[in-house]
Amino acid sequence: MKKVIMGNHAVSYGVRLARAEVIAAYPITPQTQIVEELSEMCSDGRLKAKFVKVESEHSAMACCIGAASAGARAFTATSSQGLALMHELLHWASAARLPIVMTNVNRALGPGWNIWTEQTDSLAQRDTGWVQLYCEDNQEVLDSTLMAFRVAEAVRLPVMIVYDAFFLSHTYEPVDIPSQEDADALLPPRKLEKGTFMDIEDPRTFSNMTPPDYFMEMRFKLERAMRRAKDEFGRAAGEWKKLTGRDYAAIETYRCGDAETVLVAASTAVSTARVVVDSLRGKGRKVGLLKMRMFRPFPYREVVDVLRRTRKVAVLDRNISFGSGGIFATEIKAALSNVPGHPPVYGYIAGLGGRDITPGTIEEIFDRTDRNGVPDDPITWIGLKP
Amino acid sequence: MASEKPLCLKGEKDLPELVVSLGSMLWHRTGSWRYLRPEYREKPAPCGHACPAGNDVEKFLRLASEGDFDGAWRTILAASPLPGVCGRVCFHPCEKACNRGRYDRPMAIQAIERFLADQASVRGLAIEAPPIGSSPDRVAIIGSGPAGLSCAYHLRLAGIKPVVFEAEGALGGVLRHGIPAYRLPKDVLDREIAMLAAIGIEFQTGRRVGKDVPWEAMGEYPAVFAAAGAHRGRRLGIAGEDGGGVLGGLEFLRQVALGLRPDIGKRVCVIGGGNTAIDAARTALRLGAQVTMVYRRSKAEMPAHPEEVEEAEREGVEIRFLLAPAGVAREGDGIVVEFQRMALGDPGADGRRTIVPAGGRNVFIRFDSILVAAGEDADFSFLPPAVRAEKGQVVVDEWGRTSEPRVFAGGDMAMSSRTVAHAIGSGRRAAMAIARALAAGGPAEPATEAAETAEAPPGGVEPVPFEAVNTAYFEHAERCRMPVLSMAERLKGFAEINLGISADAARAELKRCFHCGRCTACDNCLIFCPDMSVRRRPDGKYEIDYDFCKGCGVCGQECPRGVVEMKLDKERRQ
Ligand SMILES: Cc1cc2nc3c(=O)[nH]c(=O)nc-3n(C[C@H](O)[C@H](O)[C@H](O)COP(=O)(O)OP(=O)(O)OC[C@H]3O[C@@H](n4cnc5c(N)ncnc54)[C@H](O)[C@@H]3O)c2cc1C
Repeated sequence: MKKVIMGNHAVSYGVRLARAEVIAAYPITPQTQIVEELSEMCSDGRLKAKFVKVESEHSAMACCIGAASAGARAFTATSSQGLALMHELLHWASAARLPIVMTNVNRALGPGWNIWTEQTDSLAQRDTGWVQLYCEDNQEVLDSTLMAFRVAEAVRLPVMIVYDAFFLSHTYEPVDIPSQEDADALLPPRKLEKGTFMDIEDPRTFSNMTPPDYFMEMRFKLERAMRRAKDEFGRAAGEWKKLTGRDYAAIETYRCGDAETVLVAASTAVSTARVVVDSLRGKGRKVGLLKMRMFRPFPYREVVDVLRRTRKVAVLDRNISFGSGGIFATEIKAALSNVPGHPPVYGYIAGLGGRDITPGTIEEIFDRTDRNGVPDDPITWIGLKP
Repeated sequence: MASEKPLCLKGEKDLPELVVSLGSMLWHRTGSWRYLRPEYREKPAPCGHACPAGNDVEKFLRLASEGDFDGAWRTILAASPLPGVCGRVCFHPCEKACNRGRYDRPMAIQAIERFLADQASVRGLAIEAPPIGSSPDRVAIIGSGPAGLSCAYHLRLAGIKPVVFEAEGALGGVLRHGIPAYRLPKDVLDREIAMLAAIGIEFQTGRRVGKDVPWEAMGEYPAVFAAAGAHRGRRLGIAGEDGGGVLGGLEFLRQVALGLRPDIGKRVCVIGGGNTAIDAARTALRLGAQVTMVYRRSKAEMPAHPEEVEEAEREGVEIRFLLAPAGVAREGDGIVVEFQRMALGDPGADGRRTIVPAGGRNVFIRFDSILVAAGEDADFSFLPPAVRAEKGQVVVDEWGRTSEPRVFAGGDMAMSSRTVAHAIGSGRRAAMAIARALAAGGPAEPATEAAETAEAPPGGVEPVPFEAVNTAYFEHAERCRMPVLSMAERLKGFAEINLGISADAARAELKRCFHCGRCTACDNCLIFCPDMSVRRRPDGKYEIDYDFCKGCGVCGQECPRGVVEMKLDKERRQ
């Protein structure tokens, strides 16, 4: 059934279809409607979940950790400062191997106080052991929410669904709401294996002291699970395609076949870039587009396979790691660095704090990449007012 | 148990996927870390603890809040046969003790008791009494006031046949001939007495012991309970007191209760500050008089219940303080009363301030009649001298035993606390003592220890203090209001002032109860225990698994009603 809904509500529908059992959240713009709608679903019985009001995002994540430890399917949503406040517990959730799903609506961190989109908040959490999936439209938001639970439970790692403030969170789009049957087919009830959750019948000690003798091995297992997450995502996407016809993969390419310049982007900027690629192609320019859906685990093989064949790579970052550069660009460079004769990578930063990324912005990026040699500076600012 | 071989995990493959112990930790009795030990101990709620009649108030409120109005009524009946009476005239010490009073306002316990009694009457419920035992023993009861009725009732519940001798033509004592109908309609009293007659209590009216029936006739009973009340009005001891136009307050009330209309004229003076004075004043108002009450001390020292004083003033009784009557003179068809001005002195033995003459000129006030309500004394003239009396009271122990083995006494003639509830309680305790004495084969001394066990409230004696209630679990809520007759309607006659609360109001009020000291199976301890060491018992309540309880105290903290107690763990202390 199709409905015209905002991105935030697409999450709520996804969580309902996933039959989440515990939801703990603290409101923050631009995330609020997600949990607002979920709380209504809980109160009117559409969703049989325990909705826990908490006093901070730190508590929200702590609550999800507790719930997931006890075997429940737990969900929370946040944004920006809220996500930053959770930081300690993000590490905990992954190292305790808890399949928590969280939505993070990308929003710039203050000060200056800003509620608009920017990816720095989620990318700053890249080392916390969470799977990260970036979404381009509301349908993808909903579908990813379901797949997130599937991946999380299969590999026992937390998953973060990420998308742009306002450009998706508050924008209404037609979304196909999957049937409960399809959702259940993709996502059966969480399997609780003995010794992996808090069970009164079989009490155990969790998260105990782990000395140097064993600590590295535990981290090795976490990393291995992270890698499995990519395959599991592929499997889930395959099944979902069979059920709904909609296709998802860790990365997506657009007109990259013979492209000489490929732009790498994520989130809503991808839609804009697609239009620009078409228009430049119309003018005979060999440009292509690589959409990053999955950021953690980083899909090295997939990215390298696409980019090694092109002449120049441009990366559009709506984020910044101060003193280094755009975070996607940094990762792309790292991915290519051991490929002999790899193409140069141009790092562009645009659209911080919710500034529009227009077709003009992207055209300028293609133009500069095609025209110029590799800049010394890892950052080229686009649209910066001099 | 932990494995005996030293643990050696060679590599990644031997380790679990997440950081978790390899086996169950059930062997690890973390209860050994405990210093404090939680224990469930139900305790009396302050309301019931304060009830002189021994009502289990919390229990009847609980049953009523569960919708079991009949069960609630029967709970009251376990202590008192007069819930319709007490629901109207008891001074409700339960409400004064109610912990909720320190949170917002106390539970409206009296209004609920009345509601339960009235609805039981509407529904025609009857007292269930066991058959009378085969023993031919009958117990004589002298006086049919609340003490006598209560004693008769509890004896009857114990399977013993009581015979009540009443001097007056009608039953009830002060309830019939003292307390006016605007506070206690006589049909309410009638219906409760009818229930007592229905279970086989024998009443003989118009039979004053010592006059119509000689004391010697009591010899045929293995036990006698004397509850003749205190009816002899105290005299003022001043000149002119004995002439016309001066009437005892209680006698005045009695005449009105009997349907007589004593001629008191227009301007009436009531002397005294107790219940009799207030009721006499309010009754005189209803007979069309202009009433001035005169009391020797100040308002704070008045023995009358403050609510009654307030009502009297609202109805138009003028009260003058610190005036002591000094003489009565007759002038024409009126009376002039002379009063001496008084001042408050030091607190006396009872804690009330005494009075001393204030000096200045005496006050003279003209009235048509005077109602003297300076207190009432008991009349023991019908009792044999062997029954010891002191300071105007028959001397009794807490079980109503007098100095004469066969003779028990209670109510106003044996107690300094003169209230209906105290009278009911004294009758009940005496009935228990009599029943035990008869069971033991005669008028032997009842075994006090056994008596105490029988009387001991569940789980201990100290009632739950307010501090033990976790008020975070209770929302503030308005106390129900008693609907009352308008002032204009009231003064037209003797119609009952308080109209009683509706079932909806009672239900709303019942939600306010904290249920102090009583486990209501709310699950808080179960939910909050971080060690999952609280388990539900088959009876719906809980037990603690001390093998694993670390004594953190969360259950005690989160128990809304002070049932879970934290104690020093004896085992741990050693
Ligand atoms: C005017 C007034 C108002 C009151 N208001 C309240 C109130 O609102 N609330 C409250 O709690 N308390 C009130 N009290 C006090 C309360 O009424 C008494 O404490 C209570 O009635 C005492 O009960 P009792 O059974 O001991 O005696 P009583 O009620 O006095 O009954 C004694 C009975 O014994 C009978 N009797 C006496 N001698 C003999 C004999 N020799 N043989 C046979 N029968 C005899 C009497 O006729 C009487 O019927 C009031 C008292 C008065 C006087």
